Amino acid sequence: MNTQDDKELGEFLRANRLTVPPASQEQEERILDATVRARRTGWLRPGHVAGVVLATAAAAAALALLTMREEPAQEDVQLAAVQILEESWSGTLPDDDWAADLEP
Amino acid sequence: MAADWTELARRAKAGDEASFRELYRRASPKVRGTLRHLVGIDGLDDLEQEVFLRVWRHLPKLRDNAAFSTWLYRLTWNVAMDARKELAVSRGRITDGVEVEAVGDSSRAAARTDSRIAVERALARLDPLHRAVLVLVELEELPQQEVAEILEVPLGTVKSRLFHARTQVRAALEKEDE
Repeated sequence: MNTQDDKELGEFLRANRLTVPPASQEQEERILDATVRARRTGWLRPGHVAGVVLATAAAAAALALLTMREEPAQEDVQLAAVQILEESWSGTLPDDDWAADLEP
Repeated sequence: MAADWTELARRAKAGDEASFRELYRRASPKVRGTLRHLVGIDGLDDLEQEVFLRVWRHLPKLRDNAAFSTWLYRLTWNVAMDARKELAVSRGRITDGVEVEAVGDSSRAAARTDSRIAVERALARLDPLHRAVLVLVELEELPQQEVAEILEVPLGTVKSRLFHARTQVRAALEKEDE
């Protein structure tokens, strides 16, 4: 096979590329919301590691008490920690300004 | 002039949500197209979301903003591979759905759909590593050196995989023609 064959194959593949539905407006919002939520809960911000550590510790302790297990499932701890952070932040920061407030 | 990838990546890294939004808008078609060709149509929105969550999460660790595009493709490749592994576990094997476009009665449209199905089948027969090289080089039109960086393999490996992928796809397409 020569370069011309490769070129033609490439052109054929591009001409017949699979259809890809564009992201909907809803999808765009979903992704942007998810990233904002992720950031809001602190796990993306090095400056907020302390908050996450505290929330995780609190979640682990609470779950241990509730479930009577010394080491609750990691997934449950993470989920609870995220909820603690979300709860503790909700209503305390205006939506538009919270990012600025978080700057170190 | 609109900000380039490097500048957008720099601003997004600093926490600028508007820049991240713009980055998303520009990157979304690339990410969706690559995922579509590597994994299929099922769960495309969820996989795209996973890519951008990883982008946002790991952006602060990106050392070279100019390498954003390469890095984005690498994350997309990683998400695609994770998805294929999960699929393989849940289904026992990988299947790729063939999406058939709604077409009219014209024979031209029908022929085009036939060609697309043939391409999808030919791609589906490739193993993920050969498929990735072919998709990134031929469909995303990336330089082979960049593909080597994305897949974290030597350039020679990209060249040899590309050669084998082209040979296999060509053979599969010829078979479809028979």
